[in-house]
Amino acid sequence: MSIAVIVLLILIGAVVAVGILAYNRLIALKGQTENAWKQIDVQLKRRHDLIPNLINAVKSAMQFERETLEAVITARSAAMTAAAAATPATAGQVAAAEGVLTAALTKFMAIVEAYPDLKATGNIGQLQEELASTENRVAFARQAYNDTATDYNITQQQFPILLFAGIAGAAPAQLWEIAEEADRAVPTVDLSMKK
Amino acid sequence: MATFFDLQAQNRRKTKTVIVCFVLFFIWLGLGLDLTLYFLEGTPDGSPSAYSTRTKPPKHFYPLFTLIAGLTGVGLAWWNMSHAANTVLKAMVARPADKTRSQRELTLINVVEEMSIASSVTPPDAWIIPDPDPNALAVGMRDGDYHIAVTTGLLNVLTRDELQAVVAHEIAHLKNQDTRLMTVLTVLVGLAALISEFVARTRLRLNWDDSDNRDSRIGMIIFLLWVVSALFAPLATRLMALMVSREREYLADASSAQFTRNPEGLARALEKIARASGPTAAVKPASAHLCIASPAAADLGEAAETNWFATHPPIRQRIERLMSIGRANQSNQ
Repeated sequence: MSIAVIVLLILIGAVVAVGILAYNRLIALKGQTENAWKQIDVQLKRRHDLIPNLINAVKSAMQFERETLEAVITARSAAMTAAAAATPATAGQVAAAEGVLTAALTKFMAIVEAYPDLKATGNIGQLQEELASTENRVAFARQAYNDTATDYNITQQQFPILLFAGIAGAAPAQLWEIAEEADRAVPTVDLSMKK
Repeated sequence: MATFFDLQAQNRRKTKTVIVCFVLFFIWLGLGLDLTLYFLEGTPDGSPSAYSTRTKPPKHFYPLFTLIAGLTGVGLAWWNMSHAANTVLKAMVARPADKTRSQRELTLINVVEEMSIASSVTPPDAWIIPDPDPNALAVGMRDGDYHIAVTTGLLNVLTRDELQAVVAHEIAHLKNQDTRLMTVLTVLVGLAALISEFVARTRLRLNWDDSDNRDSRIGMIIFLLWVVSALFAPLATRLMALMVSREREYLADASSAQFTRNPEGLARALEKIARASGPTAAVKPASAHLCIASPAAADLGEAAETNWFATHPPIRQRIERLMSIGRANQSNQ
């Protein structure tokens, strides 16, 4: 009789211990996922802040490329609106707006490359490096978010953790996919400092 | 085909196995002596006992030496960890990278930040080591106190992508807490050398006379085994620590591939570093395990076999593994 009680207590203890471990792991992963998401926000904002500098630096030399400059400015404000209300659930819309901005910037940089005067200024070299880095930061923040969110999503579905997913309030996080086929086809700006 | 996640899991398992062996070995170094004393019931300076075991007072097992070995190890490791980062940087005459100084330094600072985003680590400080040999290393024990230093030689020969891969490798060392792990292991190797020295110089006088007594014989066997392992301890622990170091290099390579999604970048960088096979004079041997490639010129050669005393695996093998990650990525798409 007493042995049965002891066995029962041990079993209950084991279930509680597993529950606590699973709960803590889920909460930690949820926090990491949210943090990774915020990091994308930070990097997007950084990118949006950089664009005015870029435009100012080349405006006078590129008067007759007004259309390209306008495209970048419009895309930037659209992206800022989308990013302001961003949650993991609306990741798709933000991604689409950012995709348009990337395409506009790519075209813009290609044109800058074609102006030898602009390229010759050291300032532009630095701006190009900053822009390349900014694009990378956005991409890496997105990649880190996707890696973390995937880990979170997989963990939620694993036994025995899935039994405690409800208690921990764990729900699958949406991955940041690249929105359109067209966006995928855009070549990245090659600003590597190859000599 | 192995992805970088598979390789990471595999490397972590191997490290764990070696660490468990390490800990067991140290427990044995302490416990062996305690057990000997328990079975022989002699004191180092005790006179031979004339009594048989039955009439002796009841034996007690005191894990005295186990505790001494354990506490000394923990204490030394803690002391070393709280004093490491700045000493290493000062020893290399490193200076902070300055973005106004040149575009390459701006690129370095940017790349370090990009990789800290990719790895979700607090951005480390970027440092420049004035040394023409291409190399890089990571220093720092806790999040918020991380530093990555690269030589001027490295900045000059690598493209942006390659620099990014090297920085990712160093950030991986920090994220995987290799700086901490290797510091602890280095301390333990030193401790093993101390114990060995102690055993070699001391003549323990034990109570041998009851040779027909069963406990006494067990005690003698344990003691002999213990002496032999204590004498081999410095070599054994050093080899184990180096084995861990090489596994951590593979792990950092695989993590670099995860962060950059560009294993070929690191492969090309390693290729260039191997070709410039001079020694990195600024880096002291004690920090060798934190570098991208061994700072000793001899270890950069074409040797395909793993050298048991090397901190890094052969560069050829590292490049091959990176290339196989690259092929796995392509076949997944």
